[in-house]
Formats: sequence, C-alpha cells, structure tokens
Amino acid sequence: MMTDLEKIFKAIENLQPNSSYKLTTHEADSQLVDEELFNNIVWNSPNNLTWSQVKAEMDKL
Amino acid sequence: MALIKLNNQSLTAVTSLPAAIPTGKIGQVVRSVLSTTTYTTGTTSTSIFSGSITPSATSSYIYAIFTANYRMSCNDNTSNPYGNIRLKVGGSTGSTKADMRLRDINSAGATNIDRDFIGEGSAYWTPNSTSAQALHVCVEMGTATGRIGLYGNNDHTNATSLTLMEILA
Repeated sequence: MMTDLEKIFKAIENLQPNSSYKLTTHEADSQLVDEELFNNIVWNSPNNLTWSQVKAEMDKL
Repeated sequence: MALIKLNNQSLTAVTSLPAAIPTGKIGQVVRSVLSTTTYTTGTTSTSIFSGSITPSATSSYIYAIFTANYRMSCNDNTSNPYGNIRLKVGGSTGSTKADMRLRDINSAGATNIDRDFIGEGSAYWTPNSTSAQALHVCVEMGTATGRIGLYGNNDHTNATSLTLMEILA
C-alpha cells in the first residue's frame, strides 16, 4: 500500500511527467501530505498543476 | 594547595605559551543540519541546504564534511534514479568542491521501490579570502524519473549534515 508521500510523487508524475521540483516535508510530520506541502513545492520546470488536481489523482491510486 | 604551576605562576596568570608548544589549528567550526526531509526530482541541480563560514585570514583553509542520509526511490520499473550529491560554492550553479556519486538502485521489474543509504563527502581548499563562504549541498539527478530524498532532522537522528571548519595556517 502506497503512503500519501509516495502517492503525491506518483500523482504528479502521472499528471505532469518528468517534472523537476523540490518537495520539503513538514517539520512536525514528515509523512503529512496536504495543500500546504503542495504549495511549498519549488518547481524547477514549468508547472500547471493545482492541489485539487493532484489530490484527485492521489485518491485514485 | 596548588596542584600545577607554570613558570611558578597560577594558570590564570598565563597569557601565552612557549613557541615549542603547538597551539590549535582549528579556528572555528560551523555545523548545519537539514531540518526537514527534502525530495528532488528532475535533472536540475537543486540546493537542499547550506552552511556559511567566514575565514579569519586569507591563508586559512576550509575543511568541509557532509554526511548524507538519503533515500533513492523509483515509481515504476523504468524509473531507476541515479545522480550526484554535490557540495557547491555559492549555490546550485557554483563550483563543485566535493561529489558523491549515486548509482542505479537496480529495481528493474519492481514498482515503488525505496532504498536507504548513508554516505559522506569532504573537501579541503583555501578560498584565499576573508569573505563569507556559503557551501550548498545540492542534489543533481541524472534522470528525469524517480527521486532522491535527503533525510532531515524531522525523520532521522542522523540527519543529513554539513560541517565546515576553518583550518588556520
């Protein structure tokens, strides 16, 4: 079973393949995946994704 | 009763040592620890965290040691990550002082594989300057798929760290 952290990477890969970014986990909970975590991603490549799109894809996994 | 006396003086009165007694060569130590686990995807060189040291003299050397506690992950059987963790001056596009080469985790045929490693790199050089020297621990993936994560303090006791020492001439 995939963790939420694994799911967000997979969801982004499915929706926007080969994206380049830096994802920093929450200091208080390194496994917590939420909108704040998504919004703090530093994108090295163009990004057109929204949290709602990514969350919907995560829920399919 | 005094136990030790140097030149018949108490220790508090000693202001210098004879030249034959070597003094310390480490001028200062600056240690930085990655606070939060951070993942990188894609092939762009990315600064994960940094430390800064300001040499007290142009003749000083910097001895840098970075210890990486890291995870390599693939999403599917074609996304084996590889790349480098590099110590760079000034930022992700600066000159490289140390290079830790990470190789394929060989997860062919598997999906969602995570593998954990620990490694260390070091560098020794003189910047010939008394200006602040910012050293960045950077991840550079060699492939656009998969990811490399550096463990931070929020995940591990032995978090990824960078120690900078000024070695006096």
